[in-house]
Amino acid sequence: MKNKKVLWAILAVIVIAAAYILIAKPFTPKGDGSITVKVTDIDQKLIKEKKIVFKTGDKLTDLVKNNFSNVVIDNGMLMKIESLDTPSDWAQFIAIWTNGKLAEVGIETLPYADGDVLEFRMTVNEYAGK
Amino acid sequence: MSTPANKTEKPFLSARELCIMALLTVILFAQEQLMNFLPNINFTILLMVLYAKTFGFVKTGMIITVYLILDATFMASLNPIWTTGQWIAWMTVPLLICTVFKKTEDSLKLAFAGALCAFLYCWVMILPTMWVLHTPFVPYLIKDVPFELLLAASSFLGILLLYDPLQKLLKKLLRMEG
Repeated sequence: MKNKKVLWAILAVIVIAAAYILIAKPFTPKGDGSITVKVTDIDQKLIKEKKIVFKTGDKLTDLVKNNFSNVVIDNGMLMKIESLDTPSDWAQFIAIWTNGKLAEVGIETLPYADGDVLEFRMTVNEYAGK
Repeated sequence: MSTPANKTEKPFLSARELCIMALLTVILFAQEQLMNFLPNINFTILLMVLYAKTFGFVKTGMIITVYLILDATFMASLNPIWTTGQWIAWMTVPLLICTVFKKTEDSLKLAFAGALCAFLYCWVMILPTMWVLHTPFVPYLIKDVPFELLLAASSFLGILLLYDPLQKLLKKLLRMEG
């Protein structure tokens, strides 16, 4: 019985490790290219726009950190960039848009390719504090 | 009118039990906050299974309600749809443990029950998440799989390794009641 439990425990650790790797593995492109990155405020007013050249294997987080100021990424979430700052009560947050569509993943695992337009937009958190 | 028989009846909740339950609520909340840096890896379901086995459905429901209000307030996610959905999702744990797994005491079987509760929690949460965040169903379902596996496997592992010693400890604590 004890051996059975040990085997199940090992299997659970393997599942945790595999799922964690799947989640935490950052996206890296398989080719070179360039992307346009925009930072917009709560009224969608452009704060900064930059065309960034990337190479195979470049992480988006590194590209953003190297091309924009005041970048803070905490636990996979973009908390600060340029003058945008996520308040502690999360009444607003920095949403990521890819080619006009709201991104389904965070900045670390967001896929991007040559010619993509990314936007970091300050957004009202509709579900906080309601 | 009280009779001598019901005068000696044990109250539903003694002051000592209430204090222990408050402490256990804090432990439930604190462990989740401490493990927040890990995605969906926590001992929340282990503790809920432990509490449900020790205190039963109603008292565990009280612990879960207080924990959820505390957690939602602290995490700025107190929302009628989201929080109600989360309450329903968490309540599936004591519901299953106090019904289907009422007679189960083996930690391996309870570990499987915990994993099942983890998947149920994640699946129940799909609906409020879609409602509040306007998340499309299929991409959410696909992207949620590794997170579901993390919660299920960490709950499974936690129950398998820690349920028996924690239950002994909790029972010892409750037996100290005069």
